[in-house]
Amino acid sequence: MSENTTSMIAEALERMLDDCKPATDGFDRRLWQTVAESGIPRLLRPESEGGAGEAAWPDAVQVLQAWARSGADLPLADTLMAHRLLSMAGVDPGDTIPIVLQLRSPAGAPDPVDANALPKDLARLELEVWGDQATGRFLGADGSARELRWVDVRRVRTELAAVGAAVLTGAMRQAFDLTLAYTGTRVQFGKAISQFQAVQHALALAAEEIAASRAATDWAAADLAVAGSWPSAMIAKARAADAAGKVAAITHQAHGAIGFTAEYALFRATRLLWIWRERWGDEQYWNAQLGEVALSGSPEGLFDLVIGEAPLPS
Amino acid sequence: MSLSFEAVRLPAQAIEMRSKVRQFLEQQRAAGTFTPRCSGWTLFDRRFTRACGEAGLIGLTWPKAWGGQERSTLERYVVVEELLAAGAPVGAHWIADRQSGPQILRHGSEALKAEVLPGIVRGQTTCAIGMSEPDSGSDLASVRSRGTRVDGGWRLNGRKIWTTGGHLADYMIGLLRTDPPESSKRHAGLTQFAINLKADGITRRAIRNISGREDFSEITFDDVFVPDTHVLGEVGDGWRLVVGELAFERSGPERFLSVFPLLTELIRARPRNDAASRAAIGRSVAHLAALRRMAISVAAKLDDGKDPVTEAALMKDLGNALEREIPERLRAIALEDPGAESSRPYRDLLADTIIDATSYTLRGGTPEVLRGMIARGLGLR
Repeated sequence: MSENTTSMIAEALERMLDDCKPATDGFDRRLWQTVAESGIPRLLRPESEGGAGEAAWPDAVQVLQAWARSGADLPLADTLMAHRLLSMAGVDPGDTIPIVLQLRSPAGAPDPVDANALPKDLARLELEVWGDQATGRFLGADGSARELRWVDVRRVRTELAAVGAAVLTGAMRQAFDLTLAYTGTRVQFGKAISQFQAVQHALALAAEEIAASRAATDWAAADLAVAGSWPSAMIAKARAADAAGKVAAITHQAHGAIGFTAEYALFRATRLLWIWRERWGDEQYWNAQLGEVALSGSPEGLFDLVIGEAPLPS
Repeated sequence: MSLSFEAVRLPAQAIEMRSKVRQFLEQQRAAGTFTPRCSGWTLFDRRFTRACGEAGLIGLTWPKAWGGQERSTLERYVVVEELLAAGAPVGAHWIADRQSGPQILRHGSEALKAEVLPGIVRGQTTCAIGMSEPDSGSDLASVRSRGTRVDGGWRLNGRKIWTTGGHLADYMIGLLRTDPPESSKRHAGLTQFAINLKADGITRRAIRNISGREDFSEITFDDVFVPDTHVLGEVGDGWRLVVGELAFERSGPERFLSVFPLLTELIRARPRNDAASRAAIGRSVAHLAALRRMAISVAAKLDDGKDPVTEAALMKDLGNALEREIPERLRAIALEDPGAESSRPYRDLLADTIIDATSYTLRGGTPEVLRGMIARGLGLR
C-alpha cells in the first residue's frame, strides 16, 4: 500500500557523491563524468534512450533530493530536466555534456542559475513556457542551435515545478540535519543548546515545514509517474518554496555566526534554497495559479482541487 | 530526520466511499438538515448523527460482530474528510467514532463492547472525552479525580471540565487516579473508565463559550459507581492507554479542515479575482493539500498497526496553525458586492470562524505540548 520511498538509483548517486567529494568549490569535471556515465541525468528519457520515462519520476525526485543534500556543484537538476524536455522534442546531445536550463521568471526576470556549478563548455536550453506555448532553443556545446516546441505547455510547467520542489526539499533536509548535529554539540550555559526549549520548538517548526514539503513533493512525483492529476506538482513547488525561507531562517539562527561563514557547509544548502525558490515559478506565482483555478471553478469543486481530483481547466 | 509521510494512493474502495458520502450529503442538503459551519465535528446534532448511522458512515473499521463493516482506515479517512469539508454537524458521533469506540475495542471488556459499540454505529450512543480537570490541562498526569475500589467495581469522585458535548453525551472515557502518585513515577496509578453519564451522582453543567454556544461542559462525580466491566485495560495502566487514545485524537483531518467550509462559502460569495484573492486562496489550497497528503500517510500507518504519535503531533501543530491563519488571510479578500444578501452566509461564517479559531490551538493539545513531542521524536529530549 505505501510506496517505497528509498530509491536504489538515488542511493547509488549518494555513494558517488560521497566517494568523490569535490576538493574545491565549483564544477568538478571528474565527479560530473562519474555521474553522467551512470546514466542518472538521462533517467527521465524513455527506456529506448537509457531512462525509464515518466515512470521514473519518483526516482528522479529522490535523485534530486540526494543531489541537493550533497551540495555538490553540478548542474544535475538542469541536465536531468533538459534531457526530459529534449527527449520529448527528439533531440539527444549525448551522455556527458552538462546542460543548463534557462527560463525567465513569469514576470520576466532572468533565471538565477547557480553559476558556481557550471563549467565553461556546456549546452544551453533556453525556454519560454509562461505563455500559451512551450518553446525553446537548444544551443549545443559545439555552437549548433535548434528551435524546439512542446505540445503540452501545462505539462512542461508542471514538471519544472516538481523539479524545483524536489531540490528545495533536499536542501531543506540537509540544512536541518546540519542544524540537528550542530545544536546537539554546541554547549552554552553548561548544556547543548538543543536542550533549550526555545531551540527545540524552533527546530520542531522547521521539521513541520520540511515534512509538509516532502509529503507534497512525493505526491507530485507519484502523480507524474502515472501522468496523473495536474495540481500536485504546482502545490509541491508552492509549498516547498514557502517553507524554504522559514527553514533557512530557523537553521541559520540556530547556528549563530558559524553558519554565516563561507567555509561552513550550511550555506551550500541555503544557497540552493534561495536560488531554487525563485527558479521556474516562485511560491507567489504558483499560489496565484492555484488561486485562479479555485476562483474560476465552482464552490463545490474547491475540495476536489485540494485532494487533487479536480478536472483539468480548459 | 526519521519522520516520514510516505505517498499513499487511495484504494478503489475508498474512492467508492467518496461517492457514497457525497450522495448522502447531497440528500441531506436537499432536505435542509444542515447549514455548513466550521468545526462541524464539535456541533452536537443527534438527528444528523442518526442519519449518518443509517447511511453506514459510523464505525466503518470496526468488527462486524459489533455492527462495523471491517473497512480500512483509508476508507474511513475519505468519509471523515468529506463530512468535514461539507461543514456537516457530526459532533454527536465524532468522538465515539474517532477514539472512544476504538479505545473500547482495544481495551474494553466484552460486556462493555456489547453495551456501547452497536449503539454508536447506529448513531444512538454518544461519547465524550474525560481528560482535563480544573487543575489539570496540558499536565494531564496531574489529574486528581479519584476511583476507589468497592465491592464489584469502583466509586468515582472528582470533576472533569472543558468536555466537548459532555452535557449531552451518554458515555465518557475518563482518566482517573486509582493509586496515589509516586514521586518518581507520576504516570503510574492512573486508570481509564467508561462512565455512563446518566449514572447516579453525576452533575453536568454546560459552559457557554465566547461564540455564545454551549459546546463544552463541566461534569462532577459524587460517589458514582462504575462496575469492573467498565474498566479499560489494566488498573493502573491508564497513562499508556490515554497516550494511545491521543494518537487517534490528534491525527485526523479535523486538525486542518475545520475552516474549509469558510473557503467554499467564500467562492460562493463571489470574491474579486484580483492578486490578493488569488494569493490568499491559492496559498490556502497549497497548504491544505500538503497536510491532506500527510494525513493519508498517517491513516495508512494506523492501518499497518503502527503508532505514529510524533507524526500526529507534527500534523496537528501544522494544521492548527494553518486553521488559525486562514480566516485572518481571508480578511484581505474583497467581494464583488460586499453588501449583497447573497454574500451574507460567508460574512457571518467569517465572523463566527474568527471567534472559533481562538480554540483551534487549545483543543486536543497545545502547540507548546506538541512541539515538545516533536522534539522528542527528533531525539532532542
